[in-house]
Amino acid sequence: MFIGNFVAYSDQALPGFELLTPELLKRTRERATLRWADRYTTLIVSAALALLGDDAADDGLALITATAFGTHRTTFSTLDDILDFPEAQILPTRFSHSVHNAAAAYVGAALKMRGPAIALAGFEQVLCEALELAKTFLHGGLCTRAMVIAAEEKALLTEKAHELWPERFAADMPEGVVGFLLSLSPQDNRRGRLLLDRSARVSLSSPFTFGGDAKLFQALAHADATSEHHL
Amino acid sequence: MNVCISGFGAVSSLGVGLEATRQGLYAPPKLPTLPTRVDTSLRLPVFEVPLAGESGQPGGFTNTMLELALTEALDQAGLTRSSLAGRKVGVCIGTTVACQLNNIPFYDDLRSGRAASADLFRRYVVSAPAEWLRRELKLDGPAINVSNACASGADAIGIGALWLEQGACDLVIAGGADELNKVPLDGFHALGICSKQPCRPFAADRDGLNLGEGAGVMVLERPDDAKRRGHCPRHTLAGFGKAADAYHITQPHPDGVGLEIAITNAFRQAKAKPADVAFINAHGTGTDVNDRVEGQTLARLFPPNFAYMSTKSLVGHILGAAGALEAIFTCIMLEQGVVARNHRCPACPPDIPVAPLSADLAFDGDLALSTSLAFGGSNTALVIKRMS
Amino acid sequence: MDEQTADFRREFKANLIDWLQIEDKTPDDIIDDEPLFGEGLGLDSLDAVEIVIMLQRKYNINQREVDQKREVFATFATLSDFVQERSSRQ
Repeated sequence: MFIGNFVAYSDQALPGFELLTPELLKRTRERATLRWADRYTTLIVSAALALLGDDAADDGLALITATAFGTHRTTFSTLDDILDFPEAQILPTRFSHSVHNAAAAYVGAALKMRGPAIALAGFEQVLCEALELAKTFLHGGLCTRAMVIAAEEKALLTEKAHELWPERFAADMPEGVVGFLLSLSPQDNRRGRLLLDRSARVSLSSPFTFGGDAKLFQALAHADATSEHHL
Repeated sequence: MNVCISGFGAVSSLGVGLEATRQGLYAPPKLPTLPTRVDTSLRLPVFEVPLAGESGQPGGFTNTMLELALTEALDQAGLTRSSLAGRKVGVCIGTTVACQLNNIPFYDDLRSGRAASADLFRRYVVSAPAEWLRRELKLDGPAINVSNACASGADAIGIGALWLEQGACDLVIAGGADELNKVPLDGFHALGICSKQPCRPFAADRDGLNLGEGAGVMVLERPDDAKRRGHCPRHTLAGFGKAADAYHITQPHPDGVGLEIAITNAFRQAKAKPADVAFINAHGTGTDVNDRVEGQTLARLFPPNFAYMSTKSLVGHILGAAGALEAIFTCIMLEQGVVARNHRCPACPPDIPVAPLSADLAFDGDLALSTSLAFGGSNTALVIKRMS
Repeated sequence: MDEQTADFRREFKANLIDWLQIEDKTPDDIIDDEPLFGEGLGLDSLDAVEIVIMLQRKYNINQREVDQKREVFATFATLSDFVQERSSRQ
């Protein structure tokens, strides 16, 4: 697959990542009319807008989102409602945003994308699976380009994850979003080839570290059409 | 597309297993009742699976149902669990509830600063269905949890088929599972789309959906591989179409734009046309908007008086598992040569051009369509063929 | 319009803007007799269900009452007057 574009934002100074700022999220909300959208959605839409830039979306553009913790902040807000208010009075829009594909729906509406849209969730290599799925869609003719966007949001659950499972989750995990715009067509190549090899992969990677390989993101951030990236 | 459906298993309010499912599809419908496993003050009828269990426990009831459906699917496919270990087997499971940590006591402890259960959290992390199955069965291959709301189960089957076509693996376990849970019950109620009565897909007096629960699993493989091991599948997946509405986060596009594209693409893959299908197992939730959009779109695309129905009138809306179970129900109806009727819709409503089936219908054809319209406008169409 | 109604409408506009997170509008931007849905304020189906919850939580008006009087959602004024009248009864 060829990488047409790559974006990465984080609240921490990770190599290859731009800083995720409140201003970026505010600009996204204004550009994409995200009145009801929650923060998780805003992260995903931010990446989508950055990936496409001035390009137009067409019906051949697919969207695959990936996450481990997903919309946990919004899910917990819904649980706040259930705990603090009569059951018949929980906020419906909050609940609507607790489904993972709400973000995909916003991207679709904002960018007028009618290609396939799938939301994936999981704790073992979910971004890698999403990239593999993009390759599957492209080779299967379901789309001519694919956006793969992975997001993790920082909130209570991710802040407590280390305490609840120190061997599995680091303290102070970053939040942020990474996005790839992929294609099989050489004329879409801007950042090089992405070569996927499932058998070579380290297991239990998080969306931001690819199993700890910070070099990959640094490389992606500075890549050009001649680069080759292995995952 | 030509991927064998080598076996399948089903758990729903109709019962556990295909025998109960087959009978339930054609018997007088069991009506939904107030939930017994979910602690709620809302008086909303639901379609519960007749099994004991606890709601809201990560790795609990959802995976129990998934296990049962998987065991049956493997058995139907003539495979054993041990024969899969170490093999390139892909797992693709659709779900909504299992990919959210919505255990209320856990969260109450967490937000109050009390010691929340580390054990429950760890169970949540390791129990995402596809990853859990890959680990349990020691499989070597892709594992994806599709969290695409109401189209998840159908998407999982379509993705599994693509994997096989492209050699990403040699066998696929695909399907969906979702348990009844307080959060979607309260949430859909807040959105004003739950009915206090048994749901009435496509009916003039329809006023909302009933939630259900269950699991549906298919074993998929390439025709040559099935033949090589002497297995004769009875169905194939002939087309998988997927498209978005690009419209709204809860409402479908009023003209069914995404649904039309998905159906068109599925038929193109199947090298078939709308007139070739014997029937359509529609998404038909019983909500005002979905049924109108879907009913009008289908009427636009299919010949006059086409046969269609919604199995949600029998088992409710099983969210992440709906698309998978409906594909399985479609297989059963193809096998039986009889489409089950759409219950509780005595007359064609003014906003839907063609009435759904009000009586069971015997047919000759070997092709059927199953549609899923997810929250947020993600549409999936599966074309399924019965092998002669 | 009497002063009480004017005051209620002004406060109700502010509450509506706040609840529905309409960041780009002020109470003065909401015209009393404009449609709430579609044109006018341009609210959609999600806003409709949110308003029902707002009426329950902030004004103690239960869903059944609202279901029986769907016409009150026509304009801002019809909704505000309905809420004002129900609130004065409590």
